[in-house]
Amino acid sequence: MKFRSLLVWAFVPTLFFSCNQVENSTGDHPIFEDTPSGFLEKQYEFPYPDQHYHWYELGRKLFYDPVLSLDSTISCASCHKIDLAFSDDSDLSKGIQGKLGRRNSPPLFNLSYSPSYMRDGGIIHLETMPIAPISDSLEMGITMAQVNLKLNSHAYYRSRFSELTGKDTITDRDLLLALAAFQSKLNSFNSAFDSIQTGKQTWRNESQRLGFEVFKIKCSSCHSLPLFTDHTFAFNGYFVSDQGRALVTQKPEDINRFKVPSLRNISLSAPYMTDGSLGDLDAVLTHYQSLANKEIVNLDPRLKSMSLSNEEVFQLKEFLTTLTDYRLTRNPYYSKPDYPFKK
Amino acid sequence: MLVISACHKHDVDDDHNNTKGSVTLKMDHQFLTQSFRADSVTIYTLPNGESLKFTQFKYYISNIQLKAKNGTWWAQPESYHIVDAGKTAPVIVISDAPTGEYTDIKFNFGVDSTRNVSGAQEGALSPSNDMFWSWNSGYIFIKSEGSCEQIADDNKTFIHHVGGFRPENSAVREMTFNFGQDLRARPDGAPSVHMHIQVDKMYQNTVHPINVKDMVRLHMPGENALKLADNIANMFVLDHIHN
Repeated sequence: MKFRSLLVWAFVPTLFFSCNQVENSTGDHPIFEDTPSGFLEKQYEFPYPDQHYHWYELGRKLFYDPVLSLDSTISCASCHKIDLAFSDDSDLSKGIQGKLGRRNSPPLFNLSYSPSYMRDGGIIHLETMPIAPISDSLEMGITMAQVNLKLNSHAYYRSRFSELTGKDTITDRDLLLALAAFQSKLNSFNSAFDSIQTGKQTWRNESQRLGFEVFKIKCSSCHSLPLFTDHTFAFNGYFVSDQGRALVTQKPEDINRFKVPSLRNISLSAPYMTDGSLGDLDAVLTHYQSLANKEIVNLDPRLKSMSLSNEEVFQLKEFLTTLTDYRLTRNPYYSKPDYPFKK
Repeated sequence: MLVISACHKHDVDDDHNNTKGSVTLKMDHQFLTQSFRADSVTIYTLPNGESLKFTQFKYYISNIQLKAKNGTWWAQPESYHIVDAGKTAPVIVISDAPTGEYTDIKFNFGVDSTRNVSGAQEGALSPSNDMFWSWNSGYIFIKSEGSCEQIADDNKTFIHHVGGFRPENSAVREMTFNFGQDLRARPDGAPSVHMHIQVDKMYQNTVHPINVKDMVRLHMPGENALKLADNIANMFVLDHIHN
């Protein structure tokens, strides 16, 4: 992995420079990235664009800091790992005291383009999203009031937030803004597929190209471009013991419906499905193949005529590898901040 | 330094031409003829015979407006308040009412839809007040919790969390009260509005009579929350004012 280490080292001087000389930080920081053409309208914009860099760096530090959990053992990054496109390789992630969560950790990227969060879409704003994992007894297990106390007794965070807000104390909103400043910039639109689309690169083999053709016909009505999800809620025929979208709407027809996940970085975010019960893409595609012979009540109509040959499955898998974005997983600006920790 | 100095907010809304006065809303909670406090100990008996103890009874009052004698309404800015009937003599202090004479007061039970969908909030709307549904976004407009002797389940507890901001299940209820005389807000006076909140009407002698033992848990917006919201709007009575 010589290329990888070279890439990382190339960024390091810039990183240190940016931390100390903020006003001069260069345009390669994620906060300066523009929405690529063809992407949807943003659902979230950080409210203080002039201060975004500072809030981002604070949010990034907090994302990797277990201070946000009751016993200071679990950080956001414990279940959202950068090299897995901010997902987890466990079916269910462990929270405090080894407690298992209820659902598979979803990957985190392109969040500012999403109209809702969580697999059932129950959360409707990026800023209020972290309240759920922070206060869930199975995850970080701490009340927002307790987090406030912890942060306000933390000299480093207190002084950093104070510089930004002009206030003596840190509020919930300050914490949530910082996390939103960081998470809203976890962008992923630099995969091989994106380069192929813009003509900077070509398909590595014919199977990839044919896989894209299969995808367009058989997958793209739910996993629509450019985000590879249309953000709708659908029952894909795979039963899990989870009410899904019905937990939010209380409508019986929404039982078992979940948000269509993006296929970007799909090769990194195994295991799959809401409960993480399918270990690899072969198992997922085998499930979709199996739909052809079954009559399943409430199956999403877009899946009713689904049929996939083994050849098509092979091609799809080849195509899906092109959706991995190493600018997400190896971006030093997204990684755990490694500058000296000030107390 | 440039960036940091740009962060500080400047208060620009000081208007020295108008004076302001403070108006206090005294929230006097009652249960039938008893004075009410969610103190976990006192037993309150509903007309249907159910006996209740309350560990928690707190709710949002928001968007307070005062009607001036000339018919115009003054709206309190950033008007979100939690009334906690677990505390002794809860009040809402409107510290910024423009000097003047007022005939009516209007406020909402609950939190308007805008603030439910606008991201992280502060003050009374801060999530650390524990009045927010984290997994199904939205404010909990009221938490009424305690135990009821008539509940079949061994632990006897009930939890009623009412909320809902979407049009089809909005639990926001607007209430308007006439003072019967003029209320005079002024810098050198402390007028007060005495509200009676008849807690029993959340369940009985009300729009939708509800047996607590038949609705042990309520955690989300919907049909039952709408019924309780109608009942809650029935709890508030303006008793009298002092100038």
